[in-house]
Amino acid sequence: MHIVDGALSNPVLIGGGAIAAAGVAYSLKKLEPEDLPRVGVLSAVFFVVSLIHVPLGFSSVHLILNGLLGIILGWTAFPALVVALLLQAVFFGFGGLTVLGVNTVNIAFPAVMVFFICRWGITAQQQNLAKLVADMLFAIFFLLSIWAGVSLYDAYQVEGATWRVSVNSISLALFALVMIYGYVLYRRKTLSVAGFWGFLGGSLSIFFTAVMVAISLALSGDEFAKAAEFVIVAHFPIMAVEGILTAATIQLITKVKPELINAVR
Amino acid sequence: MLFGKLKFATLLFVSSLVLGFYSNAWAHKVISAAYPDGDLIEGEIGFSNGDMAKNLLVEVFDSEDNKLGETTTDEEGFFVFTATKKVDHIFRANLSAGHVATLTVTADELPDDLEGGSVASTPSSQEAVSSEEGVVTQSNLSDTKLVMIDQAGLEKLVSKTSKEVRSLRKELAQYKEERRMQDILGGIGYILGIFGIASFLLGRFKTTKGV
Repeated sequence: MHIVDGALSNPVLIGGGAIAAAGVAYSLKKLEPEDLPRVGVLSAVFFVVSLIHVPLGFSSVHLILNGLLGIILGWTAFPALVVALLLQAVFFGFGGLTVLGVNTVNIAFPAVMVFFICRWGITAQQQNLAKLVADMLFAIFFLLSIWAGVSLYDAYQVEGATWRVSVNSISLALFALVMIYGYVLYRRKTLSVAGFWGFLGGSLSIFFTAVMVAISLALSGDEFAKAAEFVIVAHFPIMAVEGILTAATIQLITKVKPELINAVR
Repeated sequence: MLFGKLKFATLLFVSSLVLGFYSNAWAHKVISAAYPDGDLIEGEIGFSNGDMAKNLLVEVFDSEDNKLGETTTDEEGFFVFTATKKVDHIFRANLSAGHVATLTVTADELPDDLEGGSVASTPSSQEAVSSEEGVVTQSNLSDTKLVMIDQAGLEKLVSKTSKEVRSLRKELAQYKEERRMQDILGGIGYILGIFGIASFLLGRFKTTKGV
């Protein structure tokens, strides 16, 4: 997830840096003093959460939680992530200083996308419309990710490494199971509409991040299919886990402290 | 209720357990280390979860990006490269998916008798050893204590020592990779500090602008 120094070509590094700088500048313009504590705390959350490797087998799979960051922070996810990624690079050698821009864009841009896609659903007054759109989005996302997984599954078989095939199919099956389970929970109203939007947002953000990492690797000369298959498949379990975590968090927030989400500009 | 909250938590727990049985190679961080030993450079490449990079092509460059050669790792992620020149050796391996290992062995870690090194003293000392047919005698000490080591014994001693040094170096490399609690707490402190200062500055800036 964190791309390391030396893996990307210079144009990609410069482009990523420029986009990240633009994003940070834009969000700093929107930033109000009373937003800062929230930004700081969520920055610290990201810093810690991506350090602690959950014993999830896929040891690269630490939590990212950029969906949650996006939903709560919106555009201000950019400065939060820059600070956290910078400190991770300096303290632990995660990523690196030259790839800071690319990593920031890869994580923060999906967060902002999720903000625009999902925050509407979380705060929507018209519950029925929010439900309808959530159903549609779920169907599209589910089919898209399963299609991506299956087409990558073929790519693995061509490569002929059997253990990878088994890992891939298991993670894909688990992902599908968790997604369906989340949908059932939502249908049975254990998960509120806002919670389900959080579920979608948490999963979507990781999917976008994986795709963006794959693209930035592909632009640097790695053949896209190979890079994408590594990165996207490795992120399937985390897509499931983050969906559940974000759903639980958003559901709790909307019940206990709804102003945390409504305060976002 | 069938899908109660307890079951929700249980599913999360079970799914994480199930996944826990599968390990893969896309570990987060690449760990690599190289240990020069005479003109041989041994190194290893792996991931932070203990998986080693098997049968991986390692390319060797000098500091001016000229290719010196290449080697591959074995089943345990080890590779060996024989240095022929006394220059900086940079080892590069692409583990795909954004993982690149880069190792550097600087020129002064390599022995002097390689091409490009200062070779002034080395041949004479070699001659001295060979002329005495593998026996080194140190009898120049004033107390005339005689120390005799034959060639085989010396070699054994050297190989034993270098093995010990290698394991020490490995431990040191591992130690460097370790994340310690105070680093994490320090990082959190930094973040809160940065945002505290930002909040202070921004607050001052906005109020003065308002006045």
